[in-house]
Amino acid sequence: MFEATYPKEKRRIGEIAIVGPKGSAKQPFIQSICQDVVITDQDIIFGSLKISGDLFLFLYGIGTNGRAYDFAWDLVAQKILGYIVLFDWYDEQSFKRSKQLLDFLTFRFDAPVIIAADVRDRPYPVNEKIYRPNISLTAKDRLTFCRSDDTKSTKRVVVSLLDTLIGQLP
Amino acid sequence: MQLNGRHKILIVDRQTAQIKSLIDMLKDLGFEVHLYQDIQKAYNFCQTTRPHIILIEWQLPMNSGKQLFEKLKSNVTTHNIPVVVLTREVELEDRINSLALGVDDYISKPFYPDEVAARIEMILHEMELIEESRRSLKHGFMGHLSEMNLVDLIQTLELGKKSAIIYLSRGGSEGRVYVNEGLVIDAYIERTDPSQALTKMLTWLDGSFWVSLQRVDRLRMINEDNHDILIKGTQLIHQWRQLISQLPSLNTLLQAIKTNESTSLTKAEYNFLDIFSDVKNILQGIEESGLDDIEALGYVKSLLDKGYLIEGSPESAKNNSANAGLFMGIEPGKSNGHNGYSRIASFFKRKTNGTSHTREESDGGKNVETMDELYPKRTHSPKALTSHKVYLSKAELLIIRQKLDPD
Repeated sequence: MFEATYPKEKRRIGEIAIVGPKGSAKQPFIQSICQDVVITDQDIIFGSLKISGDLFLFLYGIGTNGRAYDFAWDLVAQKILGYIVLFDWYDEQSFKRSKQLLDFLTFRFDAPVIIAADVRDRPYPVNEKIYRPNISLTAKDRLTFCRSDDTKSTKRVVVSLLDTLIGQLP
Repeated sequence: MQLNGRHKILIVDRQTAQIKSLIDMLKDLGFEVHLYQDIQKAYNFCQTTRPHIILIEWQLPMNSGKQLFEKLKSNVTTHNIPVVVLTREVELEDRINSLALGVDDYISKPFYPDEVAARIEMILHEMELIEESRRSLKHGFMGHLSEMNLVDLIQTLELGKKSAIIYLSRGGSEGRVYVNEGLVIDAYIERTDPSQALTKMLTWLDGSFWVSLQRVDRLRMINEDNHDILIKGTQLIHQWRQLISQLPSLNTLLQAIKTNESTSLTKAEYNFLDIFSDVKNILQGIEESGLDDIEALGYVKSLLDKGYLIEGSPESAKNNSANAGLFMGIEPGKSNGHNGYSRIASFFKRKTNGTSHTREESDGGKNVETMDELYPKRTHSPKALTSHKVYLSKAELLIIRQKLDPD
């Protein structure tokens, strides 16, 4: 799958799914972090990042259209660290779709979820507390902002997810 | 490691030294272990003795391991026995292919017997938890929609001014209704507006429910008051029952008669007919249509009356079933000349030259498909959350964090 030179069977892999409706910038998000990116014609994107030694991070960009990869949800849940639900902050339809995604993920899978509102290169003057009710987020849903093509910004989102997960571990 | 010695394990594989050491270990742990290499004997054993878990070598002669798996999954008495695949196949796409079929776990050979035992323990423990939650609910109750439908449940909660989440399941569909102090405030089915989701679930008269009595902290998305909801529900149930009485059972397999667009069919009927180009039962067709249930049932009746739908054969359904859950609606070989599995595998082989772009056309959501709708559900966890297991250590997570932290 990837051109990694490290033997597959010895790799330790952390997997995170970046999920989002059409128009959410999954590809630039993953490309901003990963060294090795594979883009398929089915709106699934794979990125890998070698952390150190035998430790790798895989990011899966998964869209929500088409039946061909519905299997990916249960499949990915086998070893997923968590999910990042990505949506375009300025697109109302994107809000609604991400809320449906959030409900779906929290209903089926018991892994941490971060909601990342992508503001790209635009400002976001609206107070997050005002928007939360508009997109039916409860107080405990974790919302963060990012710029999907900015490496520092996207890495902060992943770090935020990892912090949530680390906080849950004994 | 503590394992329950009452459990029966079936292993379908050749008797190699590794398998023998696994069997010895499992017996020491108190399991009753049975080994068969012959597929038919293994299948007969499952029918008569019903093991708690089955380990199958995928690469038995003539692909028989996979055939046995498919046979078990298509039989109602054995379809929910968890299956673990043992094989030397180690490519990611092979693992994905087998998991996509509905296999519960996948172990590469050579394996450590300890690891296999731990995985078996995990699966059996998960099964016990699910069974336990079904048997006793401290804060709620469960039952069948045929005995108590959503209208009845809402009335019950309203009388007691209770707060609860009602989980409903019918066929391949799942949904929930949120009730706060007796008032319905929200409803959810994937990719469905809350009001439409509620309307849909009002006519679910078979399937199951689970009411979890709990505080409900949620915004109100449904503006109708309970009185209007209950009246609507009663009317819809009446309409549904009237239609159903004129049709065969919802489990009846139907198949479309191929036709060009005919003047005796409306466009909507013609489009609906296409759903039954593969043999499936009425309920599956209704769920796939994405239409209001009563509207869909109306089309079924109309097409049956006009002769464009006929009863399909179980053989035709069986031939479709192995791939139906994954590829329904996708014509085999349509994309790049690949069959279904190689098409999935090709997801992981496609490389970009660095300038590719994803196809993210906006279609207004018209062609958006239901997530997970047709994927064969894990048969032992229709409602339970897929439990989250972290396969990296805390130290490894911290290393990843440190590598990524831009500050």
